[in-house]
Amino acid sequence: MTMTTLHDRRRFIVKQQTSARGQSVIVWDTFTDANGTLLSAHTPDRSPAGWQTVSGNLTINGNRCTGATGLSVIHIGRADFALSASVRGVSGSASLIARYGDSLNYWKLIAKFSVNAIELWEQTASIWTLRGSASVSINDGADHTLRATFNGQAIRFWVDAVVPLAYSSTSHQSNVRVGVSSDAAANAIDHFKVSSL
Amino acid sequence: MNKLAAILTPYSGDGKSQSSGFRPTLSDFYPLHAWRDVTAAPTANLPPDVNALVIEAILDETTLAEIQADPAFIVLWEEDL
Repeated sequence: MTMTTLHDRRRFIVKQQTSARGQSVIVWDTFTDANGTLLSAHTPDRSPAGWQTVSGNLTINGNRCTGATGLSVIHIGRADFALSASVRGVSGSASLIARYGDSLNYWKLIAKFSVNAIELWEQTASIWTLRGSASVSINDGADHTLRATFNGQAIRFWVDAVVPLAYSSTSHQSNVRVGVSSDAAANAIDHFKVSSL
Repeated sequence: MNKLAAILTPYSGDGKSQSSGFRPTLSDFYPLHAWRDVTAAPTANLPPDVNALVIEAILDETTLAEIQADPAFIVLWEEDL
């Protein structure tokens, strides 16, 4: 076995990336607003733009994004970033959306409470492909931090302290919108954060 | 003991929705702690005649032994974690 081969294998397990010097927060949203406020009518704590509704009607309740289903995005003007949110639920799923181009082209990092797993999905020209998955115990109704980094072709994703999974792709590299989605009204999303790399 | 292995598997799914998305058949039949697609075939190249892919998976050694005995899949290499 060559060292290169060994190195390639070891790339599967990568160290969790901590905040780097010079990293700046682009979007920060604690979803603090009146109950029943649609995400599209809500102003994030910090963001270059407001939320755009793609589908459904994501809503704020109890200072969290909860009580409805849907998918919403924010234009951040860059395709490389670190993305995180705390998610909680016991069924269905809650997701981070990355490099969103249109409703048929984007990345979706899913916390699948129904099966205790996180999954990285690519949708390109309406074709869905699962690129990676990890089993994690998340359907306990408690907050779990879902994270991803998109840096050129390098994609990493993980939840809590689970070792990140790494994937490489050129798909949607020029798309500059990120977001959240939920397919169960009882699920909750909070502390949505996008940082530069 | 957990193992890291590269495994050749056919695809399942037709890609037409997330619930029927393209995915490794192996993950439908065996419990994997984690896996990633290392073939990374462009999505546009998958339909209509989707073929096979290699995944790197973390799994327990009992599951790996079952997969090695299953002619539907090919374990390319394995190592201890």
